[in-house]
Amino acid sequence: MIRIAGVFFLLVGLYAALISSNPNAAGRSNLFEVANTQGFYGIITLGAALLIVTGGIDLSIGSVIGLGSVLFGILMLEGVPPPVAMLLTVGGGAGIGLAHGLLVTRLKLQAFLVTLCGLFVYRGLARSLTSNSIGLDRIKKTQPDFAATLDGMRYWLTGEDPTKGLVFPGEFVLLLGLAVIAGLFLHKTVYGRYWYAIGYNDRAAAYSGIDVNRHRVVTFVVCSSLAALGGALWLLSYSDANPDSAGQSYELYAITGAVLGGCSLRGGEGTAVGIVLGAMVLPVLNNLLIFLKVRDTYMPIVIGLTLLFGTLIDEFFRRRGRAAR
Amino acid sequence: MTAPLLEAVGVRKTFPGVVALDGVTLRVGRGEVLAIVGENGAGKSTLMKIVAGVYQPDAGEITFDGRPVTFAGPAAAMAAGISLIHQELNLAENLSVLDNLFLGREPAVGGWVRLLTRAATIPPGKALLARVGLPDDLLHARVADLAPGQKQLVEIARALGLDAKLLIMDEPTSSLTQKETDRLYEVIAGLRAAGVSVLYISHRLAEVRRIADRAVVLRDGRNAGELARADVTHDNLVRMMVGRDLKQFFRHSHGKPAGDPVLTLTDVRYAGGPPHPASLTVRAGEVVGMAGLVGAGRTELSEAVFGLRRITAGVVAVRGRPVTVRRPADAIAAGVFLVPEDRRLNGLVLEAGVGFNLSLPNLDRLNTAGWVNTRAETELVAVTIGRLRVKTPDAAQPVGLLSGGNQQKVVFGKWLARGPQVLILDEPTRGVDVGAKAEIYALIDELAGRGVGVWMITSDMEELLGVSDRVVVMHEGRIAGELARGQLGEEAVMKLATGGGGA
Amino acid sequence: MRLGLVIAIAVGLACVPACGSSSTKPKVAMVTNCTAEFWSICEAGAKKAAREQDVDLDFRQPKTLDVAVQREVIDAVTRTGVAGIAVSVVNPDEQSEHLKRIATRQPLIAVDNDAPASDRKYYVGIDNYEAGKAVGRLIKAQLPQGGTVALFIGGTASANAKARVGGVLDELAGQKDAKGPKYGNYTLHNGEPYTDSTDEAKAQQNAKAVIESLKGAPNVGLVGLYAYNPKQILLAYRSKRSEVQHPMKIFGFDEDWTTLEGVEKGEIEGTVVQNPFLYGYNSIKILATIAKGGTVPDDQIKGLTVIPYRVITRDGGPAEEVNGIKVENLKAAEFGKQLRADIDSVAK
Repeated sequence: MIRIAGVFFLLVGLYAALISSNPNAAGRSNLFEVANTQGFYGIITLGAALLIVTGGIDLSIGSVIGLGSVLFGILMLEGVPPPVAMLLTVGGGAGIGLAHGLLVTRLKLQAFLVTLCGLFVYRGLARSLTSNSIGLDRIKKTQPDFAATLDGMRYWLTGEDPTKGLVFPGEFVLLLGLAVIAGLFLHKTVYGRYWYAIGYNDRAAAYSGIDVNRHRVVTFVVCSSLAALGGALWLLSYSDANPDSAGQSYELYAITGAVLGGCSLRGGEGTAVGIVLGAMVLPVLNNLLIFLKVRDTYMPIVIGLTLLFGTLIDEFFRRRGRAAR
Repeated sequence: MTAPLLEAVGVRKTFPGVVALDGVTLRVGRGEVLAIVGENGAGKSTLMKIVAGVYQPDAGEITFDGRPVTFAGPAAAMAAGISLIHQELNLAENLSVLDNLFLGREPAVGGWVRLLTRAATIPPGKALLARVGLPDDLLHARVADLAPGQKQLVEIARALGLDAKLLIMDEPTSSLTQKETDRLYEVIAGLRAAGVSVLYISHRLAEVRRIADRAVVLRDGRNAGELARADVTHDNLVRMMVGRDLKQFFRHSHGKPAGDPVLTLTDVRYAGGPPHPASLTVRAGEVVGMAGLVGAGRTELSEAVFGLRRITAGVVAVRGRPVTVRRPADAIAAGVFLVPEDRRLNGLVLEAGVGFNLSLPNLDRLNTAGWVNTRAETELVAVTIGRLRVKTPDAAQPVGLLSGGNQQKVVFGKWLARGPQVLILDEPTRGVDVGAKAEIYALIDELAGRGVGVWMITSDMEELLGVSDRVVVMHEGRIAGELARGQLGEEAVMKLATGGGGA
Repeated sequence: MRLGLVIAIAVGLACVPACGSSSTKPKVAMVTNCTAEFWSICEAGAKKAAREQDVDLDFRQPKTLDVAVQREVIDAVTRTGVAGIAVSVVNPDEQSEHLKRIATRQPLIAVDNDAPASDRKYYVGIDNYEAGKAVGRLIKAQLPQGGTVALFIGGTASANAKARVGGVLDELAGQKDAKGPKYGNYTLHNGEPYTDSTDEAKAQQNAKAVIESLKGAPNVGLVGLYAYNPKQILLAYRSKRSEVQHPMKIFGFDEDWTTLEGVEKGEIEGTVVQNPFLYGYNSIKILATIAKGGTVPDDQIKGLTVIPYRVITRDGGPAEEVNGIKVENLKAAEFGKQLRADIDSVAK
């Protein structure tokens, strides 16, 4: 509970500041907009966090998002129906995760190194698939039959309606659904228990008869699949995917969210609620800074300092918690 | 006793939720070597830290050298003449011995420039080394290159350089070889002759008998009694420490084992192991002790049987049926369990709770379609904690905060619920205090009585001789010989372990 | 294991030059400032010229708009041996030193963004300040009574970005080197342009937040000054259209396909385009001529290097001369068709 307190109060503060900054910022449509971005961040953060709980790391998330978004678009341009294209994209992500997992567990390579290589490889693959951005308009024009399905998927997954705009924060709803599943897995099932054990002390886990390698591979697969799903969502929500910039640096946002939410990079710690809260910080902060008219030049400074402040609150609550024990 | 050097009366110290010391009284004479004995958690280390100024007492009075004192910190205690030799050595390993001896009080010239004048420290440095019996030429050696015993002596020399009147040593011999230990005893005798007092915390009763003038026993944060040198016997000490009579320290109530073999190794070789195969039989209800020097390959063999090393040749059979062990899960499925040597590294998830650890290897049976069956888990954990008498506030307490003995009980508890056929114990009582040792021996006895085959690897001779039905000795990777209970004896074991058996 | 990896990478890298073509044709190179559809059109023009001139072409689009990244690419390309290089310089102030050294080894042409201090032989491109003023004229025509304008751009460090922003604001203010926050009857929202470091998602988020904060205001103009900005503004506006009380006007720069379609449909008021096809075509034509030992006649130089900007609106209009530049006012539909034809002619 204590590990969540810091990020919780940080979020409360940020929302209070946002709501008082500008009447339009407090409006339904802006809050929905922020929630949607949070949903997106949250989905990739979930994957990163599950991996971090077992003591792993994935630096290729951003590139997998980029590759996923482009792949999803190209498959549809080539005539693959949108739902199938989405499944193939997520499946491709799973394949990437499987490769990461096998390289890490069989060849005993470091996850940091393997996924860092992935960061370059998948970005390059995305660029080799197309040099231009792929937009939903172009897909609809090339495959007019898909227009209705595509609009439907867009509505249900991102809440975006072709005429009414953002009707509900679909990606946030999706995140909540995925987070509930992740939470049940982490806190209620045997697998979650094993993941924590592996993250804390993988040798003790192995001596307890747990197939550590298999579980590690599974978390890599989950992480990359969610990143690829993020890629598909990217195209649906932004209506446009650029092979170069789609998803760039998002691995850092995902890791930041996970750590803010109470995951330890040493492994073994983290809760589903914390992960969701942690992922919610950056989008609301970004939105707030735009409304506060903070000059672009100073934005990175303000973001860095706010995150530092968040960890200080966290530390404060933890010390109080320890003193009370 | 006239005018003790240190007198502490009614010392009380509480930590949140725990009373560590409750009215302890301690007197140390000049030139006296006083041993402080007690189980883990009895308050020995807390008392030492209070004397050395690391902690401040909540109540009580301390008089040192005739004056009442309150130390604000270790530096104040050191200035007064009290030095604590830490269990984890407190030396800057990257610096030379000389630099360490004068660390923090380097003579310097040039005012604020503080130019080091190392040459001036060499003669006093040599004198300090001579007092602890270290040769001059070590003065310029890097501390990191020294043996553990030499580091310890450097630390003592540094304390002497501070004109220490009272040295506090917390289990100083725990990482020393026999030779180094003997040297340390000589140094302590020399200090006593020179009028320096020593407070000596130890687990090892033989050691107390050898060097202490007197032993003070603590139990649960209180004085449990004290013994003059002549009265320091194993039984007396244990009785005071545990607070009850230990008639059967090594319990051996299970009958003569007549069961069928539960574990049979036939010509087993494993990856990275010795070229010659090993064979071993453990019968139901039998405790097979395995002796050997460090590096004889005992741990490695047990790890191979548990699926942690790849078996390259030979057959492992459980109850006569050959089993293929590729990973621990295979061994577990066959009913073979391992309580590893390094429980902190391999046996436990230290940051997680007692309940988490106890249920971890049993989750495959505590779930319904993947969902953890919380009620069954809670029940299993409660039953195991009760049965093994694990001392923990609750099931959520992180295992890392328990004492060594209780940690070891948790490692045992992980497997008990599964009805083991074979239990492999690797150094089961290392770092465990006396009271918990007795409980673990009783548990081994009880398991054997119920027909479990126990394979116990141990380097503790008393334990080996006291608990085993039969002893197998390994030497350089091969089984060097076997001794039945009737033939057991320290000499016979050592002969085989050092390769003198001719087998 | 680690050593093996290093060896594998080294072997892989060693193979790279060997994989290139081994023809004896002279090779010329072009390095853009980032990756964009704009530069893909340029590449089409460059390829066409290379084919006509019978030279090999190494066309590079660096990953991000970044001085260091571009410098690395330029070094790598020149090290493989080229007879001339054309560069769209990211930041002339910082890079002139480096480019001077490049220019001593082979002819250097600045494209799209001039770097006068770099010893470049020619500058091929439009006058960005004048083009910015053309955007300003579009705004004045659509919002004659004044209003609030928000500017969106990748970054404000490069010379052409400064010139474009300056041109727009000076035109609105009706004076040179105008200072805000009011420019004539127009207020610059936030007092400075919104930047996104060419991260398109950020560009869309910026646009959405600005639309959100101005959704009750009348007479709002949203101006995108890098190729992807108008597209991202349009996508943001489509999503927020139902929220907005008074319709907002969008103004663009460059010829992204989505932008052109938006102009054709009337969603975007107009866009001022450069001529990336001619940038590529003319640059490579000049470099190829020099590489083959020839010189470009003086009377042709002006025609090859000074590229007029063009104004694209839904309905177009007659050509005119503004400040000495011949400006075409083209119909979006026709312009798009011609552009597609230019690209297709090379792609095949």
